[in-house]
Amino acid sequence: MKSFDVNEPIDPVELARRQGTIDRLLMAEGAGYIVHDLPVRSDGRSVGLASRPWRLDPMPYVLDADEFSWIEGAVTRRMQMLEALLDDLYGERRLVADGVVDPAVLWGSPGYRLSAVGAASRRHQRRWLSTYAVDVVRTADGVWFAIADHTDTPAGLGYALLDRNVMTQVADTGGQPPRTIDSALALMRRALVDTTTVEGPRVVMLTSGIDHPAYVDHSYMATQLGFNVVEGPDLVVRDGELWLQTLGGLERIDVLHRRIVDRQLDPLETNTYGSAGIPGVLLADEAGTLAMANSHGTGVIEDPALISLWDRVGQALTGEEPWLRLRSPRLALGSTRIDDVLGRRAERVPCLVDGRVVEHPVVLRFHAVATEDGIAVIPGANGRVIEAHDDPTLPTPSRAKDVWVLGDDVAPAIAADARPAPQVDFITSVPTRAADSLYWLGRASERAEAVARSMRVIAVAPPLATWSGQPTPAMRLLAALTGSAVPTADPAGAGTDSTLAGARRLSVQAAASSLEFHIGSMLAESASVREFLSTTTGRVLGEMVDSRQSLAQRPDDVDALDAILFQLSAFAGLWSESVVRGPAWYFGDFAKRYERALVAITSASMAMRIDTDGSLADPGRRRGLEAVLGANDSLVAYRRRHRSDVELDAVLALVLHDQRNPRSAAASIAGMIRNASAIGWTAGIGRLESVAADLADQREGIDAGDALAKLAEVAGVLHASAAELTSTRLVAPPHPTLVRSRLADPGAVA
Amino acid sequence: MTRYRISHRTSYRYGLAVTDAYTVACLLPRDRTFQEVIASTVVTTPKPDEFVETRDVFGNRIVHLGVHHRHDAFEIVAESVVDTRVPAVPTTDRPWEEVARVAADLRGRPAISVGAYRAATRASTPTTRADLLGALARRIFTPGRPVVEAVTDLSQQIFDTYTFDSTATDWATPLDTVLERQRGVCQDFAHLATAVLRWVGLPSSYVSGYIETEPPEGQVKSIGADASHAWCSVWTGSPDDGGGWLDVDPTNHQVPPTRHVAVGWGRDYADVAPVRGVVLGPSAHQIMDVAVDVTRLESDPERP
Repeated sequence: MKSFDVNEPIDPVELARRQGTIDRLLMAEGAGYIVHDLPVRSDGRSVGLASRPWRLDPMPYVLDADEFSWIEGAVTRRMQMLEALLDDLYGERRLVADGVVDPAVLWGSPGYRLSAVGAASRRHQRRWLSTYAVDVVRTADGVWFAIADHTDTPAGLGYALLDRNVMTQVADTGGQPPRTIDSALALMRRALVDTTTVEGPRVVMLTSGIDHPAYVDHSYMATQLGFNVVEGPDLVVRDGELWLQTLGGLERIDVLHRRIVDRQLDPLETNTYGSAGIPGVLLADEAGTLAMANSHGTGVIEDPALISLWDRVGQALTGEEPWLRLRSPRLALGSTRIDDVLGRRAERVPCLVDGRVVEHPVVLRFHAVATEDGIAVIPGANGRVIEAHDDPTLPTPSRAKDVWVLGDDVAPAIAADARPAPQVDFITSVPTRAADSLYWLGRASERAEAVARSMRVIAVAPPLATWSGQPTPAMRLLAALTGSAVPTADPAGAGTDSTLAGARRLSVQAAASSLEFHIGSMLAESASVREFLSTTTGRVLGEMVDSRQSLAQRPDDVDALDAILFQLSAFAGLWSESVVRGPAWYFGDFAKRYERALVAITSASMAMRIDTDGSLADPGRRRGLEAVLGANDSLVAYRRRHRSDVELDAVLALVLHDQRNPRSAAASIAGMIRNASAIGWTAGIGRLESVAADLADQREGIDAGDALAKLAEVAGVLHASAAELTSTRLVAPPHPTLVRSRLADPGAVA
Repeated sequence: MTRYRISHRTSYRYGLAVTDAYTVACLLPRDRTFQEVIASTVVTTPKPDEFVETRDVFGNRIVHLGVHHRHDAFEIVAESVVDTRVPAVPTTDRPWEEVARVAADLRGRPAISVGAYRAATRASTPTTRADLLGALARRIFTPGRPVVEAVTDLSQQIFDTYTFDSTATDWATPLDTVLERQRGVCQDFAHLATAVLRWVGLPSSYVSGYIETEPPEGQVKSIGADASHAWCSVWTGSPDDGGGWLDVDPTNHQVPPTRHVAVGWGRDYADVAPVRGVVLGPSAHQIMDVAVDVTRLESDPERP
């Protein structure tokens, strides 16, 4: 262990303070932002994985320059050795011919992908491993061992960048700042471009979506790298080429940075179907039109049945002794304790656990990328604290450590920008699935606002002298906005104010689950389109995770509701001021305006019902109409316009017809039309214009029953238009079905 | 020499129209020492938007089909004309242990081309009932027994003690269940035989193809009543030692098989499934129908 200022015994109180800051910053970065416990996505798939929050230790793991330069050499050699192994196993297979590798073991491995055999000769693909990560542990007497190679879909670089970003804001560097790892992104970009011989290749990152345990890592990397994050249904294979389905049509893909393991890449080959994968993608791979990082087949290195071979076989192949030797917990008999795995005591380093400094082993994951100019090892790592109950092979970083390499920044030997990648134009290149997510994000955010405002109206309502026991107009409005049943009257409790308070609480509580759902949808949808939103939006969404939790605990807490309303306003402000205008925004904004029009129509309908409700006394009617205005954030607008008691006609004029009121149905439909023309949906424009005219006609007096029916008609047309847009432009991912044949041979019965 | 014409029709009907379909078909027979393919075609309805023929790593002929427009039915018809001879049984009298040792010690190209067939794959490996497989293997592969005799006995034993029952298993039934229930179809028995052979160290491949059937006495053979079929092939030693590959059909206990046409071979069913694919569409419901006709065009016992 290094002697370094930050690791000198520090006051536990100071460490705890730093821990608090770290937790807050990670949350703000959107990393503590755990999407996995969100209940349901708009497409009906539930997200069942337990959330994976991680704690970043306030004390970094520190390596000096000499130690790192040894690591650099060792990791580079190991990556070269594995590259040579893959090249032989899928190429010449000299190792098999010479009897070094038993063919029975190799061909028996599900990781040995037969369709990758002979692939090297027919590809644009320059190498097997573009990226590589290795988990290492140091013994107490200073010897480094590898405990796992990651060749299939090496993960964690995004976490390393996130952790570093947070750590440098918190830790005291003692005048000796660690080497920066900022170059990791440029190097990664270079490595991905260098994967193929194609000039100016188009690169996308393929992930299985927010259900993937490492999704935060994926999306952070993609956002930083400037590549589209795509999922299986975004891509299609045609004539042996891979294409991205965007709002503007199909776009050819040259490099697939896959975060999906070999065996799930192509349901056609594996004859199994998960939610991941692209049918036919291995045909494109075989045709040589596509390069993958890492190449299909690289997962064989991780097969537990084979890992014991690599050190020996690699040495036989390259003639070089590996610097890092593998001691895998998967090979250790009976125990996954790190000391047993290594066969000697692992180094322990101080960590802050529950406010106390204790010593634990740490697994370090180093990352390397391969370029045409050689291999670069990133001067940092993911540190994973191994507590007594942790299996060192499982990627469950309940406690992470940032890893610092001391010494002056070394000018990278590898030029990060030697080959240009085309600028991905996010403004025009929008995968249809991303547009779908933005659409639902827009709708959920608008509905959440209306529900939250309506809940607040009830939560702050003053006590009444008398109460009939009937649900108040505000309760009925809230039920209408959340699409739930109107609470039934409670004749037994009529009259007393305490029962009114109880009824109000019940009504708000019922709505809270709806609000939670809409916020959950916002979080889930935004998680998969982070590259389209601003950084600040990520922070606002991060805070909404907390607010959503407080809401669940105290649904009628006005402060919690206010916090949510602030966050929703911030989100709306960022949406209109910080998101680049392009198809993505137009789709999202169309949805937002559509939802707002529906809210206005629901509110106006409720206003009409309230006004004609004979059972309501005048003050009750007035309060009801005020609740309608409140739900639409139009109370102030009303007062400025009318300076009188609320009257139905004036309320309807403001909520339905006033083009100058951005919350009105008329203004919202006008917004839908603007967005429809921006995305060139001409078929929809005419329809929306005629419904706007119908709505305007209703200003001329129609009796109440007729007006309600008319409004329902308007809502119906809006609904049909939106459904047409989503079904024609945002083709929902179809559900794949496997086709199988079976040998049943009745004729063969002898 | 016998000349066969084979027609293999696979048709799918989907409950609702699908918009996109990818199919991989292993239906075109390949040449081998005692088999010559005279003609072979694959035709589909609707016509595919993509049609690519390749060879897989085992040398089998694979057709990739893409239908990228709406359709609610898909039919694949493979037709071939193939000349076959009954292969000679290897003359080797080596004990099976010796052949297994030679197989394990192969170097150079044969280490790859033969060694691959020693691999225990999921379909040809028991996970829970290795005891049953081991007992079967030990009963047959007694010390010093000549390899051809032991292999022939394996076929006999499976034929005698296992019952053909097309309702007992489905495409995904694990070998354990087959071992426990002693029932299954040709696919299961071929997997079982390869599993035993690999268990004792003999390279063995799973062979996919067709068998000519004969109608019951006095009846006319009905159209479409033949079947796709599966058996296995075992390596009995180097050719210069009187060895070579020997086909074994445990379902019909024929060593070597006499009325068979091979399409392709691999480690197990998954390597040579006749048709597999993925369709994208609203419905998971599909109805599949298969009809196979194996017609003897001419038979000339004078021509070997």
